[in-house]
Amino acid sequence: MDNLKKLLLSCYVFLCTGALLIWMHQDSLETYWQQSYHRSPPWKTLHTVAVWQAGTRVHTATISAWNSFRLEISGQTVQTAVAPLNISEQATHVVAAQSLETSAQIIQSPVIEPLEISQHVMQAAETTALEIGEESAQAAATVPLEKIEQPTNDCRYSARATLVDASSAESTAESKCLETLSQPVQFKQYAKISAGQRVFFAGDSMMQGVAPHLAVRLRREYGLSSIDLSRQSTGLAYPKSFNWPATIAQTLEDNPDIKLLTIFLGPNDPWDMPSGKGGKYLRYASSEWEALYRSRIRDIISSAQERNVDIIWVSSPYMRRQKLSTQVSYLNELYESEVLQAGEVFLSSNQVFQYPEATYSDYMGDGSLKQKMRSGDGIHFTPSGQRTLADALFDLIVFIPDKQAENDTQLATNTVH
Amino acid sequence: MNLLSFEFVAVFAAFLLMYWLPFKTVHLRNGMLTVASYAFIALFNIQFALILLGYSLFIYGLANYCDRFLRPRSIYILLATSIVSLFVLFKYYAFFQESIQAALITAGLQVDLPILSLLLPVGLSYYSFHSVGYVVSVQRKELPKASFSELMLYLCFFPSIIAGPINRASHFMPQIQDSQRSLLEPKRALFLITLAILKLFLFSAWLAENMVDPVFSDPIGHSAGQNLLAVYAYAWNIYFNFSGYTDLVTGIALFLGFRLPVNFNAPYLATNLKEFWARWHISLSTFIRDYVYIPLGGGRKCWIRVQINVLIAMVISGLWHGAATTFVIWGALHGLGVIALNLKELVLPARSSYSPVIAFIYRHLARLICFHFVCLAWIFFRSDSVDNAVLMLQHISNLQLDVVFEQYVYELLAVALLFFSYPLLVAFTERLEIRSEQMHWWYYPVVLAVVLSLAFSLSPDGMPNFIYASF
Repeated sequence: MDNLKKLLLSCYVFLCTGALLIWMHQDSLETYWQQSYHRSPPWKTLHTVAVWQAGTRVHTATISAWNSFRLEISGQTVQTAVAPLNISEQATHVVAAQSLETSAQIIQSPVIEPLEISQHVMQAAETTALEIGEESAQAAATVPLEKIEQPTNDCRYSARATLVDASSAESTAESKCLETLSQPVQFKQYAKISAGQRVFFAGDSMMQGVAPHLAVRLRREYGLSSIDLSRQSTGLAYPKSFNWPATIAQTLEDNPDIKLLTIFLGPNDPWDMPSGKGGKYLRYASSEWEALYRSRIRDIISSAQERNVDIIWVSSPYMRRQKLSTQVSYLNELYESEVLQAGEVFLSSNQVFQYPEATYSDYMGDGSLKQKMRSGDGIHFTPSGQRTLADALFDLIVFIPDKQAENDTQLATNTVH
Repeated sequence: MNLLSFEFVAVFAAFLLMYWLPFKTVHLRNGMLTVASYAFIALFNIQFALILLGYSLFIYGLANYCDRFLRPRSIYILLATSIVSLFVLFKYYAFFQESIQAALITAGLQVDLPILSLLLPVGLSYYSFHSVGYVVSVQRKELPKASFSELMLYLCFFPSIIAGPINRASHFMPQIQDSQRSLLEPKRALFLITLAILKLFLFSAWLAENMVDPVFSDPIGHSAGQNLLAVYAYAWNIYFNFSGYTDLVTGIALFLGFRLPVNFNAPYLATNLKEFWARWHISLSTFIRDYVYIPLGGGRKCWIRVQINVLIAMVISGLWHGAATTFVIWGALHGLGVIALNLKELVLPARSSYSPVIAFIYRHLARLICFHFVCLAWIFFRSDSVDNAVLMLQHISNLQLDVVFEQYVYELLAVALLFFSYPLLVAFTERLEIRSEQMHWWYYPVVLAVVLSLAFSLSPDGMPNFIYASF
């Protein structure tokens, strides 16, 4: 066979295989295209053609058949063809609960008596409250007026969002926002959790690195178990790819023992995003974009607060690439204003890494540690960086050994009205 | 640009059409391939491309001109020094700086070692080893001196720069210089790429997401049975990942008219560690054998010296993967395993013949022991720290067999089934490869599309990573 013939036949295979794959996976590829290029894919115009639409149906039918097969094999009843949001798959990440005694035996550390635990915990709580109280006071003193007045702006944006995207979830968020305006905001200084309750980790690849370290510490020191659904390449901008507000709501619904939601995302989001209604994409950082994005943050906060779940929202640190760094700083402002307005806990990772204003460093910003904190890509963390952030998060969590103690510590909780 | 991305497929298809235009000489094709390879590297970081260009100039000068006034031994020393310097600067410095700093602080000395924020250039571990092959082959007169453009292409050839395999100059340079280049075995190339996608997207990624990553990041948070299953799963995870990557780049290279060296030969069929290393990452193990073990004296010295050479070679092999104690322990474990095997052969030489039944039992028992030793070493290879690896081992050592069998009977059966049916799976894949070449062109795309579609539908979300690209 001569070379030209081999080339033409190879091209024929490439083209036909590629076309068949795009036909069958048009939805997944559309999501990929949206995330990569922040616009609709070139094959979007074919959506009205019946033959083209059949590709999606073939794919959906295959997935449904596979899910039914799996459920039948595992002895579960088939209720829905496709599990919502793939939560059933992700639940395999649930970190198995393990008793404090077992952990202590395995790591061969001395078993801590209950009295010692409560002393330790209360001491930690006092220290944390003191330290954080000071930080909060400083933070409050430096919060610009615009931020304190943010609720008014936010609701104006939400009103616009309702015009742009009439989804019911976002309308609900707006009405909740109006409700909260009439109530005094209580700022939490730390998150509380009791024995038998669980911590829920949500976020992107940054959280994937941090969550295991925090999960280990929580279990080792407090015997707490956790659920880690963090997933790379996810954020709030592309709910078709991964819908965090819905996933979080569903997970909290399915797991009433979750008492703390720790969320860390952002670097996958600073792009134009679909409005949710089709049509043109919302320009990144435009007022419409911001309104829609804020409504998604609020949805998450509302889901947690409705179930009395505390939130610690972690901001992204400065990035090596200046443009990305500026972009995530803008997103951090959105998270911070929404989280503080809702009275939840906000952790600035730039403060954890002691970065001076808008200055990225692979190491601690103040030069206090000679260990590398950031990985080669200038975005993620090294294991040392992950541990540092996990430790900072751990310090914001106060463990209440039992319910009675929780009631007692209510008195010690500082609230700012 | 990821070799598995949508964008790469589109750009590569367009590049192929231009690449195979009927040029009269091979130089133009080589030039196109060099430009494409440099563009591929520059997409990661333009500095990486500049470093590679500078390194290519250095190797060209060293191999082609320095022999006029330097003896081969001096050239080798210069080459080794430059590679070690590059590795220390880009790959090991942060590890050494942190370790030495910590040791000094423990000793009560407050010395601030300088901090270097350097990125590891893409492919450094591979093209530096490629250069060794070229310099040594030229000095030994096994190869004529290549032109600068040929050397550039040899060092930057994009399919093998990310994660190997390590090309030997004696095998690859003649292919660059051959004027009769043609598109090789297109059906086999397509089969290999499809197999690679199955291995990477489906098997490797599924094992990583569901059984390996959650447990290795938190061994104590999981039961002893889950830890054991994670170790077995990792053995297959890394095998599918790395052999899948090798299949992918072998297929891509065939489309460009090149044959890459065989890097895997069913490694878990090995009945002992020596055989394992003859089947696993073959291009690295033969490189270490030829350029580390043999120059150290190889098997020509006394028995004890030979064992020391084995240990040194294996530790260097471990260190090549990265500056971490876990990799050193992994290499040392393999070294000690080979030494133990040599000792056993010295004390109890293998009998030349067994009855078929005994031979069958012996072979499968040996396979089982070898696989478990390899798994033991994988614990250190995969763990983030020695502490985590030790925790995992302690956890597994507390395993209660009856509890594990009760809780994970299906998973353990699946592991056993995979292990014992592996010879059949290898034979099946080989037969499938032959059958794929007999398929008609007109329906070949339909078969590929169905297989790939199933792989994409059943695999976890996201792009699988190449484990060996980080080394």
